[in-house]
Amino acid sequence: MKRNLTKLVSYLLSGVAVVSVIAGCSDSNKNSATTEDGRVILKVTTIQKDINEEGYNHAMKRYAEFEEFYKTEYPDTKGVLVEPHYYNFNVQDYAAVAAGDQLPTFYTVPMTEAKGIMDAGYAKDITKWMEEYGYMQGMDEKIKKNITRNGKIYLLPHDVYSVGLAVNMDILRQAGYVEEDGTPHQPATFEELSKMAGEITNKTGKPGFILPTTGNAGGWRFTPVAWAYGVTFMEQDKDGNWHATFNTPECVKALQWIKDLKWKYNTIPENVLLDNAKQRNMFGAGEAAMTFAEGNGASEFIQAGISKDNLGFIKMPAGPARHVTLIGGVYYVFNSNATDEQIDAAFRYFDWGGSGRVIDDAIKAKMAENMQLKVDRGEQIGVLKSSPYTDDDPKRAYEIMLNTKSPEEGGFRNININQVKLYNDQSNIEWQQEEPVEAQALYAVLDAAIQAVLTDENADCAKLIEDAYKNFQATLDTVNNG
Amino acid sequence: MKKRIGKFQNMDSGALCTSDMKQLKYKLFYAFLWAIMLFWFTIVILPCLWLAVSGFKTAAEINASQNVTFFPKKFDLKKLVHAWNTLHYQKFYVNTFFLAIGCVISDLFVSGLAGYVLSRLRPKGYKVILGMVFCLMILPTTGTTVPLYITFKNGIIPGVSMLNTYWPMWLMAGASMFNIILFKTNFDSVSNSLVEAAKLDGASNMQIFVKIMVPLSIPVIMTVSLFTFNGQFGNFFWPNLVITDPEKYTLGVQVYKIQNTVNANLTDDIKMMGIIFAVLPQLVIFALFQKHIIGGMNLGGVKG
Amino acid sequence: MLKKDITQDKALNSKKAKGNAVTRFISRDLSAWILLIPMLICVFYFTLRPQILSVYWSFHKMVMYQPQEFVGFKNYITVLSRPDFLQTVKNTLTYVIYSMLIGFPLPFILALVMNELVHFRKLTRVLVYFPGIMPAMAVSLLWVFIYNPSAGGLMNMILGKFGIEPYQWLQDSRFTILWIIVSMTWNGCGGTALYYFAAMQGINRELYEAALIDGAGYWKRVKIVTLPYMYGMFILFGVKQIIGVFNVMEQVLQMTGGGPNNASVTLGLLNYRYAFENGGKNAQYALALGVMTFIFLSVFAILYFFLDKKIQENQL
Repeated sequence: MKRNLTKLVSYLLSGVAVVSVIAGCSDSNKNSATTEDGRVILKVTTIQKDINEEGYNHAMKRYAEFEEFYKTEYPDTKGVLVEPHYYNFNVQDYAAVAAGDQLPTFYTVPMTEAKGIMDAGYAKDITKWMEEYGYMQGMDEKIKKNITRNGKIYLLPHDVYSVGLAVNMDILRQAGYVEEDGTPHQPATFEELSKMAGEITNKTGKPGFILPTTGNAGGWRFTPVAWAYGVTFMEQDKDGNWHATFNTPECVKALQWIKDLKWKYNTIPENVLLDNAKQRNMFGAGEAAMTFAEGNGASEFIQAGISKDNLGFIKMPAGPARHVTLIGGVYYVFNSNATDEQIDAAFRYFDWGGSGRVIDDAIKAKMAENMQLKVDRGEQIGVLKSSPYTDDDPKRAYEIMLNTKSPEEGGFRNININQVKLYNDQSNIEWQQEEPVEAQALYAVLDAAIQAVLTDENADCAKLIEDAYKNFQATLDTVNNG
Repeated sequence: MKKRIGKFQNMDSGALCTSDMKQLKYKLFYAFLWAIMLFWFTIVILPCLWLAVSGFKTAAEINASQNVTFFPKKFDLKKLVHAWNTLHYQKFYVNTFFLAIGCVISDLFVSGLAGYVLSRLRPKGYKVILGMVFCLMILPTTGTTVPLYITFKNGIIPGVSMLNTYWPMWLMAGASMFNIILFKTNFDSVSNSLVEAAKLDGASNMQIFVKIMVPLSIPVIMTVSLFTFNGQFGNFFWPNLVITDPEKYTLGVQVYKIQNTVNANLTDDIKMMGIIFAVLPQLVIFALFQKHIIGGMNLGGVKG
Repeated sequence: MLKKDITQDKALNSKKAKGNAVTRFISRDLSAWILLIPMLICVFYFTLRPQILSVYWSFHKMVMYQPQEFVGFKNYITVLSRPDFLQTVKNTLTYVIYSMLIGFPLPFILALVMNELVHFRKLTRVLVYFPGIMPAMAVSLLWVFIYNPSAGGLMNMILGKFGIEPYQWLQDSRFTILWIIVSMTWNGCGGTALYYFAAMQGINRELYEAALIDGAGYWKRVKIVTLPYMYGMFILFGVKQIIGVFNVMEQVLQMTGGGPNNASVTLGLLNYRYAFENGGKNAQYALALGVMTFIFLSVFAILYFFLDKKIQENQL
């Protein structure tokens, strides 16, 4: 029996050994900052090979170029290795990905979520680099405030957008809402917008307007409408406590506007439980005439199937109280586990690639090259992205030229500018950033109210807003109580 | 007609007896029972059939608001190839297979051994374990999600995270109380004389397990393997939380993810195809091992 | 040969040592316990430890899934005072009620019918079980298409055949839960029906014959023979089903995401939202909610044990 025991113990030990060897293997998969020969590893978000092989191959080519450049430009370093890394930010699994150390060196995060990431400690302090590489000059003050926490900078503004409306030119044309020069009709007020949508449905049989309603997207889309109706969602008292303030007739009216789209103007399709992706897919497939969108959403719509010449943009209409829209965007977040060398490499990569703040002939050429790439990929050029930098910033001015001027004038625009010119002119519309505290929780309660008015003809808007208000105040109470 | 009556005599098993069938009333009643069953068959088959044909529709046909038809306007088998190429399921099949096989092995090894110990060796204090197994089988697991997730995140071996590996699912498969009981019950019924004879020959516990218990329990092993394998092929909850690297996604996760992706190629018809491809392995397994699976349901017996 | 001699020796030795408790413990018990180790590790790490930790941590603040300072019952109070808690409890009870009304009797009816049918028995069993082979995830997604509120959805197509206008299905917040339960029942009831069927097959036929001689008709026979025999199983499956429906989460997440207007959020989904949405910021509430659900469901589990024992005593 003793021998059996020894045998058993040895079996078990070898079992443990196997397990630890396998575990050891998985350990070596962990993010490391340098290669064995000492090169800095830069993990860059890259499209999946399966989805777009051409795009992937092109990225790989660029990475190789940058590695070459790095070797010659920074001879005192051991060089860089750019690793392609597929990552797509998603609130749901973000914490899991971060905890699993599966994030690239830097990645884009919507403005909406960036605060939470700063708070949760997943973002690296990049103050030193932001100043050294000139990112802080010419930046909009509001944006500056947004990326700073306790005097330190954690986020790099990458893309800024303001919300408007995407329109399907073909459907609008059929319904008689496009002028001869190709300018889509701009509804001045939300009332006019819903009438127009209803008219489109009558004339073409297509849904005139769609909006996402799940995954907090409904609430997110609703906030600027509510602002326009005069709603303030929350206020902070002098003790620092937050109070929800949207249990007002204005907010009820704003919700009523959404309800009317469905039940008065019959312009919302049967399937109303849409998330962001379904909304984009539907609009991209030409199954709706108008939807909320931002200028830099063009490429996603095109990915979802709509042609560049069929995709127009107009401005957000005005409400009874204000003419306002939501400004949002994406920030670069740097992996909190990244080393200083990795961050160095990342900022050098931005400068090299033309997305830094430096502007000289080489960068200009690079920017033009990037525009050409977009053209080659079939993207729409013409919609002007908003910018965290003022229009007189030299780099920004050049960007505007490239995007809006035709090839004859030295730009890359590949559509009729009238399709998007109403959106591009944001001069007479107010910009507001999203709600400061617990925005996701606010969107969640608003989602619920929006779903209710779109699925139930007899829904009571006042009661729904009251419920949403109570629910959200409960969340704020937990914030107030620390 | 005669044959039918004969069949009643041989096979009747329910409350109806052979003598009843001579009455018209019961003949009609029997027909009524069949009508219920046929109605249920329709309910079972219709959604499946609809799924099978809808994949061949165009996205516009699926979302149409008028002139809808049950069958697609055009039946093109090339669509299968197109869908396959769009969905890139190869790697997800491989991943899922890897996950499921690992779970089967872990389940057989851990639960099988435990069942054996509890059934045959019964060391001092085994009743405590047996009681615990019974308790844990029915006790709800609500609330363990977060601590489990943290366990996977931090790893059992400190510093070695199990996120993005299949280890969490593999190891959890080993802690299946139901299968432990199933194995125990099965081993209980293995003839004692064989075991005693082996013991006299000086066989160790492990040898008895491998050489006597396992060969005599092939049916239950088959059943457990099939159920575990099938269950893991559709597993969603933990793989969805644990696996964040798209290269390691399993079918269950991928089918869900494609519903929420912005991609012009992933139209509703392709998503339908995605569901078809995702249940295909289970269909094949069911077709091949239908006897074991349905027979295995009886093994579980009252314990359910 | 030599090896065999040694083992034989050992066998003799172990016989001699029978009286000696320590040797016996080592030779018999310890080696058996060693074989239990893998199972004990799995159970410890994946069942016991998480259960204990969830109770312990539920009294703590969590940041990035790491427990911080002790906060007493604060997490519990927060969960209970949020307005969505009551709504969720109400929803969950609605799930349970619908599932008892639909998912509970249906398998019995099917089993009863199967029990009588003598033709195509094999085919019947295969077809009845068939939906059960599909994973819940695929079934939910399939039923989302079936419930498509446009005319092209299967359900609306059927309504259309009867000249009825397309209906909203999952979007009708009054009945969202019902439609989810219908899809779950479609998926799960075949398996339960087979269990019931297997049990019915175990009923001694002489009981029926005896009832027949007493002049009992079919329904009477079912009432006095089948039902009493099945009674215990009903309760077991009923309790199991309640526990299962309480935790339902996947199906809701995939079919409605909890909407419309949170009409279909269950305790399971609320728990998931707390645990994993917004970067796990609310993980402490997930713990508190989980512990409360656990305690509540344990009552059912104890009931199950109690009944199970009774049934074993009476019938086996």
